[in-house]
Amino acid sequence: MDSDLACSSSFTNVNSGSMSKQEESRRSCWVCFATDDDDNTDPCWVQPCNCRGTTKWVHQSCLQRWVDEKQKGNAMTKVSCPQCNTEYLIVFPHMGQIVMFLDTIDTIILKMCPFLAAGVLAGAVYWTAITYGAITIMQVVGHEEGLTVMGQAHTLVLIIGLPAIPVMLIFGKMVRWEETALLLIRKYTPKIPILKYILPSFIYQEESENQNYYGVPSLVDTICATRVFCSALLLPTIATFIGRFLYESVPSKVQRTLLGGITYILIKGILRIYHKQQKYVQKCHRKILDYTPENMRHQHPSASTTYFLSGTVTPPPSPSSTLSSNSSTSASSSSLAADSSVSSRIVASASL
Amino acid sequence: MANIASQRIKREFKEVIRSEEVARCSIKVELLDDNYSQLKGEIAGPPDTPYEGGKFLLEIKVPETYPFNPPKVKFLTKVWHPNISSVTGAICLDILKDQWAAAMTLRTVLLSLQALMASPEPDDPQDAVVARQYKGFPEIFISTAEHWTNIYAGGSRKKEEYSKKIERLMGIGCNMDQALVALSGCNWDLDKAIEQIFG
Repeated sequence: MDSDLACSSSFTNVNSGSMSKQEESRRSCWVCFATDDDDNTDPCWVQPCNCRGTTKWVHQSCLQRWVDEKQKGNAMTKVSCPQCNTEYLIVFPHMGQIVMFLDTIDTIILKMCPFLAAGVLAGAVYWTAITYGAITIMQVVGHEEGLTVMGQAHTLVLIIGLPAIPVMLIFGKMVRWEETALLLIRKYTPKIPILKYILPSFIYQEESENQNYYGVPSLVDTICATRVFCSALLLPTIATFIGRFLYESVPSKVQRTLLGGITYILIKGILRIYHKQQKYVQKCHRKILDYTPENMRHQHPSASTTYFLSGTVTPPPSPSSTLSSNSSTSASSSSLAADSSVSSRIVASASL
Repeated sequence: MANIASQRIKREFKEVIRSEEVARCSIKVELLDDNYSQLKGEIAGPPDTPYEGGKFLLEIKVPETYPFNPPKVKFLTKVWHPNISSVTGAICLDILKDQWAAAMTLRTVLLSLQALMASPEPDDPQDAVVARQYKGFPEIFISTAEHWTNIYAGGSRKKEEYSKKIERLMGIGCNMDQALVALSGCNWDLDKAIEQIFG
């Protein structure tokens, strides 16, 4: 702060101006303010920095205390003179070879430990990956055959190849082919007549663009890391099981597992594309109601209506509730059906 | 109190008494108890500032760990200044916090406070309301600080307009301090001040 600077400089000027030579020769400690005359004992004086005048001299013990205060427990922190900013030269006495040796060891250990811990962690992950790779191979080609294959392979291939298996699985899982497929289907469904007949609900996108100009909900949902991890690592197991059940006639175990895996990925992909599209239609269709008593009363029945419209075949919870909500359901469903031709088509697709 | 602290305050006390600033009536220190832990300071408002002519009292508490830790200082006299709280008198000054050095004394602290009064630091404020006024309406800040100095510290400059507005507020049931704080904070807008007090 400017004011302080101005002030402290004026202070030193005043002092050096008023100080006689006799006073200058008399030492006074800038911490305890004691002078040579005050001291009964014979204390140790130092001049640890560039300061002149009243702040030239200080007691060794007073300065030690000041340094402690500034270091706040960390004995290696550097301390400077608050006035002239000179760094104090703090030296430690030589304590012999053993202490020096122990000090060095201490420093080395302190520096090494983070790297060592990181190394151990990386090693653990690596060995887990190798084990997973080996188990996967035995699962896919069979226990005995797997051991034979791995026994014949070169060590280097095993060291790099086995951990690569889980890595490749996870990377493969991150390829989101379903989204691309969905976009392609959406693009070409309105143009190809046969597809238009089979997949009527996929025409929705273009119509909705005409209907609301505020943009349609985005397709991309966030990648869930744990989900990618789990499904990637479980893929070989699931593929083996499906292969064993569906393709018993195929003689080769590898082919069986491959076919099982492809079947699983395809079925899952189709279900996912369907689910995504339906969620998308549902989201395009949502509506915020007026907060009227009537809407509040009919909130549950109308909710079930929208589910019904979007094609999820959910049976009504109980006959009595359907009866009571029937009149309102028919009214709201007719209004909904009137303002969107799509929903009626969805009902048609559901009945198909 | 630790020996070193009281020994030092004793010596510093002598230094202040001898100093030429005391001779000029610029600063003053009084002991409040025998063991040198409570002191009362007094500084004169620096010349050519809104505080000119005022006497400002300070409370000085010397900690056990003095001089390794700074003394605790606050204004007892109410001041309108960006770095001094208009309510509590707390001071925002680096040398009373982390920039303290053991070579500083009661005398240098009091002189630093005088220097702070002469050159406020609105970018590092203790009282945000005052700092905003200092930056946005410098003329109002100066006349407000003069008025405060007149009321609390015995300064000679004041504004009749301000006195009338304070009387108006006191007429409808406010006390003086309350009226002054509200009006000063609202740049002497009477309606806003009434709204702030009663709203």
